[in-house]
Amino acid sequence: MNAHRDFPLRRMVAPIVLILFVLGWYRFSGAYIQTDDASLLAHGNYAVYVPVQQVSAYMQAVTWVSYAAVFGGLILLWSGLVSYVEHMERSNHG
Amino acid sequence: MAPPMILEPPFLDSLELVYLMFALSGFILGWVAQRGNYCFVNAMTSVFTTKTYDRFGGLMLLFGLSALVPGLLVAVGVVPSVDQYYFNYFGGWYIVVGAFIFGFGAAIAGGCNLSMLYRAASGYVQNWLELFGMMVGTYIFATLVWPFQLSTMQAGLLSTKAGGYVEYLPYDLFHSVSGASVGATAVLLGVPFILFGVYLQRRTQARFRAMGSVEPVRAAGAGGVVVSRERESTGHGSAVKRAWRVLTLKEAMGTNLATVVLFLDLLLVFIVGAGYTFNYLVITSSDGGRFLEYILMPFGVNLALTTSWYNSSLPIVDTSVLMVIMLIVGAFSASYLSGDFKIRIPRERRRLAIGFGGGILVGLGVRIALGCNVGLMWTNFAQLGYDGLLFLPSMLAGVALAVKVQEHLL
Repeated sequence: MNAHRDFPLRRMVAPIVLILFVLGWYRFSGAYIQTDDASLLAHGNYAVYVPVQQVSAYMQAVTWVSYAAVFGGLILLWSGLVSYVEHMERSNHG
Repeated sequence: MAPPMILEPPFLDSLELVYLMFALSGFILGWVAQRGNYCFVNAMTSVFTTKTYDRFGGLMLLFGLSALVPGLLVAVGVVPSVDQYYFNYFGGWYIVVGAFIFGFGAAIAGGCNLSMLYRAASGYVQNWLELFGMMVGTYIFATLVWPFQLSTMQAGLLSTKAGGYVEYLPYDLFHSVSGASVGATAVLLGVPFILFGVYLQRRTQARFRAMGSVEPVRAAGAGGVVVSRERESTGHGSAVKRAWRVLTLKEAMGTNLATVVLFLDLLLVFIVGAGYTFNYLVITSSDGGRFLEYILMPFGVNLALTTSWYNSSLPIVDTSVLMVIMLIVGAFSASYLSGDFKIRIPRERRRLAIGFGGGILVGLGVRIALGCNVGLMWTNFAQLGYDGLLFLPSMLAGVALAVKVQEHLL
C-alpha cells in the first residue's frame, strides 16, 4: 500500500492534464473562435474581425500542434506508467 | 517623402507556417524561460535587494542583442525596414504610468508576464491567481480607463498618435529609413546595452570572487514566490559536458545561455514573421485580455461586441494566441521532464490574495502601457523604437517601490 503512496502520482496525472488542455483548446477553437469571428463580421465590427484565411491558417496550425502535443503527452504518460510498474516491482521484491 | 507603410513579406511563407513558427517560438520561450528561471522582475528585484546585477546584466544583453542583430539584418536588406517599424506602437504618458504600475504589481504578485506564465505552468498556484487577477485588471482597464486614455491619445496629450516610422529611431535620428541609418541606429542602441550588460555581470562576479563565493547570491523570488533552486550550469567542467547536462535537464540553464537562446527565439519570429506580423506585442492581451474573452464565450458573452477596448483593439485571434498556449505547453513540458513540476501552494495564505491583487495591477499596468515587458519593452528594442526606453526605467521604479513596500508592509 505504501508503495502506491511513494510514487509521485503527478507523473501520470500531469500528461493527462496536458492532453486534455490541448484537446480542450482545439475543441474550443473550432467551436467558438470561428463562430464568434463570423458574428463580428455580421455586426460589422471590422476592427477586431479576422479574415477567414487567417482563421483557417490558425485552425490548421492548431490541428498540427494538437497532434504533436497529444502524441508527446501520450509518450510522457507511457513513460510514467513504465516508471510506476518498475517502482511497484522494486517495492514488491525489495 | 514619408516612408512607406505597406508590409513587404520577404519570404513567401504560408500563413500556416507563420502560425506554426509562432507556436514553436512560444514553446521555446516557455521551455527556456522555465529552465533558466528567466524573470524580468526577479532580475530587477535583485538589483535592490541583494545588489547583484548578473541577471539584470543578462537582460541588458538581451535588449542589446535584440536591437543590434535585427537592425543589422534590416541594414543589409534581409528584412525590409517597413517590417521592422510597421508595428511600432504609439508612445506617451501611458507607457511611463503603465510600466510603473506593472513593475509594482508584478513585483508584489510574484512574476512578470513571462515568469507568471511559466511558473503557472510549473504548478505555482500564486501565479495562477496572478493570471486570473490580470484578466480582472484588463476588464477594469477596458471599462474604466480606456475611454479616458483614448481621448488623451486622440488629442495628443503627452502622447503621439502615429506609431510606425514616426517612432522609429532611425527616422527620428536621421530622418531616413535607409540601410545605413538603420545600421547606425542599431549599433548606437545595441552596443551600449551589450557593454553595460557585460560590465554589470563582471562587476557582480568580481564582487563575489572577492568575497570568496563562486556564485552570485540569487535574490529570493519576487512577491515571496519561493522558486525551486536547481543547480545552475556554471563555468565548471568542459563546455560539452555542461551542454549535455543542460540538454538532459540535469542542470538549469545559466543566465547567459538562456539569454542567447531567447534572443535567437526572437530572431526566428523576426525573420519568419516579417511582413506578416513581427511582434510579441499582444502576448499580454492574449493572456490577460483574450483569455477572459475566451472564458466568457461559452456563456454567450462576446466582449468584442459589447465592451470598449475589446471591440476595437483586440483581434479575436492572431499568432500570439498560439504563442502563449505553446509557451504554457513548453514550460509545463520542461518542468515535468526535469522533475520540477509540482503544485505549490504558498505556506502564507495571504500570498494568494497578494498574488491576485498584484495580478489586477499587472493587468491594469500592461494595458495602460499598451504592452508588457515582453511585448512592448523587449520587442520594441528589436523594432528600434523608443517605447522600450520609456518602459525600462518606469518598470524599474515600480519594482523599487514594491521592494520598499514589501520590506515595510507585506
